[in-house]
Amino acid sequence: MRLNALTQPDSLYRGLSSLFLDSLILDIYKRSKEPIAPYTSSISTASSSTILLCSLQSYEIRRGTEKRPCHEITGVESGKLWDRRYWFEHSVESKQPHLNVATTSPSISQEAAPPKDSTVELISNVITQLKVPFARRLAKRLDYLVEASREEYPHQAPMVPESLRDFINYLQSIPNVRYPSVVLTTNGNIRLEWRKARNHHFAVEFLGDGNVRFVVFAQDPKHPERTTRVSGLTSADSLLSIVQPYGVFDWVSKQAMDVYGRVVRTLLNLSREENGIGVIEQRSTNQDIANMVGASQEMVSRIMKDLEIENYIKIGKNGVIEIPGKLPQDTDGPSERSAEAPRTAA
Amino acid sequence: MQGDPLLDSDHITRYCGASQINEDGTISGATFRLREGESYLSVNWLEFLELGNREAESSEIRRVLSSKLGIGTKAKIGVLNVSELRRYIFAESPDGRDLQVRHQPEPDDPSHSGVFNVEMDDDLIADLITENVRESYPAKVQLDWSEIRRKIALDRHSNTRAATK
Repeated sequence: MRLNALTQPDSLYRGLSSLFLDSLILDIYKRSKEPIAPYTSSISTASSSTILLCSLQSYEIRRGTEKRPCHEITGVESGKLWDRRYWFEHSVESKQPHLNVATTSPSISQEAAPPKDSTVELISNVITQLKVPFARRLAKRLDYLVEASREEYPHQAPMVPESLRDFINYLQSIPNVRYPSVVLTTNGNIRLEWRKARNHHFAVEFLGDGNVRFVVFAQDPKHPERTTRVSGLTSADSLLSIVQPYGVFDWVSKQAMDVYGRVVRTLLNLSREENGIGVIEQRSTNQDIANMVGASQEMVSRIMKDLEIENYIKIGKNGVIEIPGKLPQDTDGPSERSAEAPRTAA
Repeated sequence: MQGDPLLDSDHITRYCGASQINEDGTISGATFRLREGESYLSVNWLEFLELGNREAESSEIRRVLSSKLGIGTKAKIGVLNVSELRRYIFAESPDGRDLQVRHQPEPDDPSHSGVFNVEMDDDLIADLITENVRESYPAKVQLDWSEIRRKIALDRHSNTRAATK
């Protein structure tokens, strides 16, 4: 088996063990000599390879009047789910198997549908594959949503697997995000929501075809008392660049929220209670607070502005900071929104 | 009457499926998206019921909904005020959306009403509507079996005492 002929520079096989490759290709080769009929199978490897599962589906493709065997392979590699499809056909001249990698579906008629990952399988992959600290909790939540959906809509699929797969891929592409609120739309698509306040809201629905619908409520950078609201449809891989100008990742990213939490804790430590409200009389500039929490002055300024606009703090002309009630908690969990609701609408 | 607009002071409820409720119990925007086959958001008009208190109203809404839908164990009924909803959406939506709330009675659901001018996949409007949910109630009554057993035991006890007298 000549592996070089079977792979391309940006191959799907990069990082996979040769042991796995051998068994995979042998399997394909063996099967392709047999009469072709649509089937699926799985291969796993006992080596230290990170491959957990690989499914094959075979069907015939038409090349003019000729029919050739074609295979689609879906695999799961530790840390990422790869599902790019490629096809595989016998070379007419050499009668040897030859693999072509297709990043998009081949533009040839096919007699069987591409393989689809089942919801249950994908949810179990969340735990084993997703490199996020909340993977287990997320899988539990997804299980719950499937059950809830089955109870309410028994006549439809509880969750769209393609939407789930896009969602997993998306989370893998944005590390260090906070745990999102996950719900299902009535048609079974996954919808995520990160929300800190009325003017810090980012929601994404995965449509299952590589596209997403998104909603952003963000503070207008030039007029902080105003809220910018946008929504739209885009491809999942363009989403980050589209929402970036609205500062979405300032409140979606775990790192930014860590700074947020440190600023809040510092303010609490500096304050003393006076007539039921917290007061920081010692004049501290944003740069002072930035030095205390180990963050940039710009980041701290933005957080202080947020806290002021949402009426969590009041900064007097003399620099005295008042904290009229509880400050928002920095949690990475479901109680996030209920921890302390903002006092006024943006 | 069919098509009558609801008064500003009136309240409406929307069924919020369990899979559209966030983990912290808040209602997500997915609740206020048009469901398949809907041309407007289906709601119920509370004042039409003329029951006078929220407990009786929510109980009646539960009864009506359970005759029409499969109710999730953790589903909720969200309550909104008509005036607050309309004003907020008009002021805050980018296109100054003027939602209309009208009575749309059905034979088995006389308080049925609709929120009009919501389009399919109108995520932004749905998320804005969510911000107007004033209160929410469980859509399915959770039976407290220990309380039921206690009442049955009390009942038996009083029956036995009455018989011995």
